[in-house]
Amino acid sequence: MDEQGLTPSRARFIQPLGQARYGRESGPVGELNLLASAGLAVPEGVVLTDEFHREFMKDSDLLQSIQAAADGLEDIHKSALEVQLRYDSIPIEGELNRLICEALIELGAAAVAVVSENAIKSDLESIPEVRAAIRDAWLSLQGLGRQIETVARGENIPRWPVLIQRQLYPEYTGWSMTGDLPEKG
Amino acid sequence: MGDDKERTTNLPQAVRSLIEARTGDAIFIIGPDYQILYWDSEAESLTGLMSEEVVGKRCYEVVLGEREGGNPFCTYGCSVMHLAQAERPVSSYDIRIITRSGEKRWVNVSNLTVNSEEGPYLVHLMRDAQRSHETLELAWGLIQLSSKKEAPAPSRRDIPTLTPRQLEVLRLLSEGSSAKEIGQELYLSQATVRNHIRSLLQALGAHSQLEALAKARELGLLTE
Repeated sequence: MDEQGLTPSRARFIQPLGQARYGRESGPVGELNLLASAGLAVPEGVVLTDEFHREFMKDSDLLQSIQAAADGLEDIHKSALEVQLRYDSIPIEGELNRLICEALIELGAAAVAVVSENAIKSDLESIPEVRAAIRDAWLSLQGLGRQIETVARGENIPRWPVLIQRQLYPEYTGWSMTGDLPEKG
Repeated sequence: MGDDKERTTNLPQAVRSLIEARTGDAIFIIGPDYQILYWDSEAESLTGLMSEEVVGKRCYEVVLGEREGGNPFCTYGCSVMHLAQAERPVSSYDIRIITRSGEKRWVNVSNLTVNSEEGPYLVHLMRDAQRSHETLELAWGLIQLSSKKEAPAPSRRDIPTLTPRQLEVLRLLSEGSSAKEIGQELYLSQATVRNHIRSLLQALGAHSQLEALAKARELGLLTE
């Protein structure tokens, strides 16, 4: 157990928003993590780290497919689309699934949003929906294209975190005020 | 009134005078041996119990009063009788009684004690206090809602009773299974699984599967 009470494997793959250390502080997830760590009121969530992403690619053989696509690269978009179609229903199983289920139940939200570098999916109300959104986040055309292109350049394959965030509904959380208040008089 | 005279002839004169000095309250009288000696029409309408069926019985067997929280108040050797025997005044108190229909109802009771050679006669003046208790409970609920304190741990009563099938479905949902996968695992059609999920959500007062799982975890319904 680490200082947050997380088991080593869990801390490697899942970290609370605001306490996540995954080597990236840009992008929507990194920025939300930064805001939460600064003590601002950000709806709570858990971050699936880039290590989780690596494990997902390893488990699903996606890593090899990206490598193969990079080797014979002609059209990035076409290659990314082919990889996406091949993996778009790949299940997240075993330990990775268990970690997602555990984190979701502990979060205790009625609905969550899945936030990634390229997209946000909201109103997710069941574990299979969340799992599918996580898979989509790691199989986005933009993301796959970037991975293929980077590997083709001989660099390390990029990985990115995904945030599962408690979803708040405006009607339950407060009210907003317009910028211009009417002048008195 | 003629009936009243018949029923009260054996009572000490002071007790009879108190019965005759009518108030708007229900009146019942307990003898030194805890026997109900008198039970008026107001007591009948408040409790639904008729005079003929209660007079002669022990008060604690009939009134079945309980305190806030459900502990019994009406017992042999109750505090009211103890104070009366010690010739000390008895303050009025609220108890929850069980009416003929089985409904629990708050009443407020004042006692007048008439001493005799055999022991004290307790003249109970009883009035309905259900509404004031409901108001208090409502106010308490509002205070709880507006305070930032965490809600108390759920009591056994708050935990819904789930069928073994619902518990199985709950377990599979917590493992991330879809309705289709649950159907395959339990040899059920998807429509049946959806019905189980719907009833599970209803039993847990949840609006989504995630909320149901969160509530189930809170209530200790999800085993490790």
